[in-house]
Amino acid sequence: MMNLYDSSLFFDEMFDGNKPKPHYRSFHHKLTFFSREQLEEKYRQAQASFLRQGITFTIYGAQDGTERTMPFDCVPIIIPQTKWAMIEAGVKQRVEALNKFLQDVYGQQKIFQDGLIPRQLVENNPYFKPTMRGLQVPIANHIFLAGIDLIRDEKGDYHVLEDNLRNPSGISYVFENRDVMKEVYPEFFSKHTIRPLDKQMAYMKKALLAHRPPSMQAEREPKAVLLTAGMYNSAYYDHVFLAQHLNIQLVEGRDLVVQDLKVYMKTIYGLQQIDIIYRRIDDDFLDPTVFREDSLLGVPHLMAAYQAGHVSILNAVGNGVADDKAMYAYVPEMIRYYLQEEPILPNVKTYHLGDDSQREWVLEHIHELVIKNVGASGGYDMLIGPHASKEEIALFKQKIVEQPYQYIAQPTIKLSRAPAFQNGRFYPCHVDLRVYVMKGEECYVLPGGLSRVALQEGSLVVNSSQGGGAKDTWILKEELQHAKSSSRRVVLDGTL
Amino acid sequence: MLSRVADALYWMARYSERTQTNAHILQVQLLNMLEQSGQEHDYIDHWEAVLNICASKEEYLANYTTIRVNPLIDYLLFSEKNGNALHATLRAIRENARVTRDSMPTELWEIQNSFYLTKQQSILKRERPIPLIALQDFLQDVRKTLWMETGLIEGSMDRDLPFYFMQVGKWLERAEKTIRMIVIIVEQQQRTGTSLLEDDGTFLLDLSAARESFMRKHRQTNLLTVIRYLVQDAHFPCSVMFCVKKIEEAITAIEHDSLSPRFLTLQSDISSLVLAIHHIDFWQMTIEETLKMMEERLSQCMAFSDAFSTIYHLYEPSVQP
Repeated sequence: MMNLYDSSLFFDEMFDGNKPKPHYRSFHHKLTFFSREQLEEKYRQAQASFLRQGITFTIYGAQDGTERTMPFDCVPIIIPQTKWAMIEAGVKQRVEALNKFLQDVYGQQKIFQDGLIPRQLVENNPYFKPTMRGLQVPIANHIFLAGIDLIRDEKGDYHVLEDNLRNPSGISYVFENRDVMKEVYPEFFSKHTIRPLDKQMAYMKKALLAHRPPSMQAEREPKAVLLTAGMYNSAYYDHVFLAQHLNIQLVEGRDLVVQDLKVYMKTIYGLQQIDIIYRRIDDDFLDPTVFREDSLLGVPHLMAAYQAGHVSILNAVGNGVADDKAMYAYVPEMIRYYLQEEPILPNVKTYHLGDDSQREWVLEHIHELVIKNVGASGGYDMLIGPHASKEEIALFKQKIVEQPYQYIAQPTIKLSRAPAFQNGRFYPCHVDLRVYVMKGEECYVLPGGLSRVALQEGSLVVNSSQGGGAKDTWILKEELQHAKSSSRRVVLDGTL
Repeated sequence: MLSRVADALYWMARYSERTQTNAHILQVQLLNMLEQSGQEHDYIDHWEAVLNICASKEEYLANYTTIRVNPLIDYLLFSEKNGNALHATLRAIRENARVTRDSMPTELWEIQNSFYLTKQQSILKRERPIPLIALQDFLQDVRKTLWMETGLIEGSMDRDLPFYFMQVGKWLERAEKTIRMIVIIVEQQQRTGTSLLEDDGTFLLDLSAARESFMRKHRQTNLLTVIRYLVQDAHFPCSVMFCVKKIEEAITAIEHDSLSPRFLTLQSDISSLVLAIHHIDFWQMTIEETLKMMEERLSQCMAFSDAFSTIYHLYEPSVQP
């Protein structure tokens, strides 16, 4: 069924030349049993299932909040156990270092004194929140949930593309993709033992409830809520899913009120105190008396209650200073500085355009590079040099000259590809992987994560707002389990 | 439970009930009109009654010059100008369900969402005027979907706060609607000058979906007997008495403590409504007195709704069409 394509141009997740890689062999074998019509029918079933359950995101700017499902692709990304162990250690290390960095910049600021990062780069950063200076966050943890975006280069080596330490979204898709995969494509699972996702929510809840506010009495059970911007927010489904699975109340800003520096939610029987807020709205909207005055989503005086130690806010306020694209280049140094370790996962090479010689070089080589606005995300305000028109290049050159600190440049990495089945055929698409790290007293990594795929042929943009889709991600429990396909154990589909 | 969530559940139940009744009334009238000609009094009267029960004639006339079938159907089903158009109330159910989906069975949300995304969107795209047979099918689908939801709620929801807030919304809406139907039919009767005993109550029986139940217990279908049945019968699930008793059950379940001030306030409002209904002697009343008495009961229901919303800190309806 699967027509082969030229897999030599980029690193391919599934193929070596025209043969599937060892860890993909039994999946590939299963796939050959399906006709194109069967796969198309399954694809329709999967999309209908997402739509029926309301697993949708809202397109900003579309008329009356158009809802779309994220296109789902049935070919999973399969990662062997040893590779995963390396990724897991790498992202944990990164989050540990980033947390120490946040502790430091809002605390003693040793990293400036030791000259590793220029003070002004941090303090002039719009995401740096001076109101956080000196504030002791619960269990010294600023990062409850992080999403670390990984890519693979033409050799198959993993690199960190981006850290998301504010409100990484998409974790619900990891679970829902697995559920739909089990429901619609049960046949694919036979002969694989993969790391299940079932117990992961319990770890997440444990991590959440570990963030007891400093002033809370020891004998009280903390009461946690998830603060959402409401049903028109693009990630509303993510919020509903997490509230349900963490078994916490889903609240909006108007459900909360601060009295005597304590936070209460408005229930039918009156006010009830809450202790932990897992917020999914940005810093700027949290408290109109401190941040944006026009915010209707937030809770007046919330920051005062936070500073008084009567409530925990997760992720902590001011995390944006650490996951900013300008700060990204310094993360390997942070790992060496705070942990005295070598980074396990390397960065993508990044050029600072504030530096005269680097800028000059970049302007000369702009057609080979990717230019990103340090303050933007979601694939916006970005130039992909090799694909850009003359006008676009001229525009970005001008932007760089006008605001050099606002942009960074990176080489265009030949992003790895994996086959996708869409519109009745298989073709290769670029992929990346968002790995979720949950941190409380301990650090947990969700096995797998969200594999995002650029479904437009040749496109490098995987963001769901721009035509990206998702794949299930399988972490194999055993190494080389394909070798066991000849063993005599009976598997569920009845074959020997 | 959050006040906002309680409010959304309460309104979701009200809109479900309203949608279900309005869909039924439209079905009745779309069939009924086939046997009448546009010149007859009945034809105009019946459409006016339907318009006033499901929306408001004044609002309609602010947008259209005459009462004609196609614009009426459009107004009652699809018009954005009509807050109680079927399309608007269905949307309100879904929007309220969407913000409370963690308080209800998953299937309930999924049924609602599927209906909205498929059948509701597809009828909106059809060329107007939509053939009667397609309209009837759609209305039947609306009702079937809502029956399925009622079954799901009854059969699978915990008897807990979300359930009882939905119950209060549902039964209050139903009680108000039944009274409203009676008021509008009696008002029309008042204009013709015939007595309630002389006039036929079949149309009211059909509108209130009471014909089957009523005919099992009564032989005569005069308007007076029908009204009495719709107000006082203890077993018919659309009678005002039945609905009010159900509200009483729900508030008893919400407030476990029968001495709490919240319970005492609501309970006294409901008890006085039960008593008032119980003591009505329709045989001794003039048509004007009947009308006044029904209007008073409607005000009592509305006052209860206000008291309920105040006591439980419910917001203004969070999502209104």
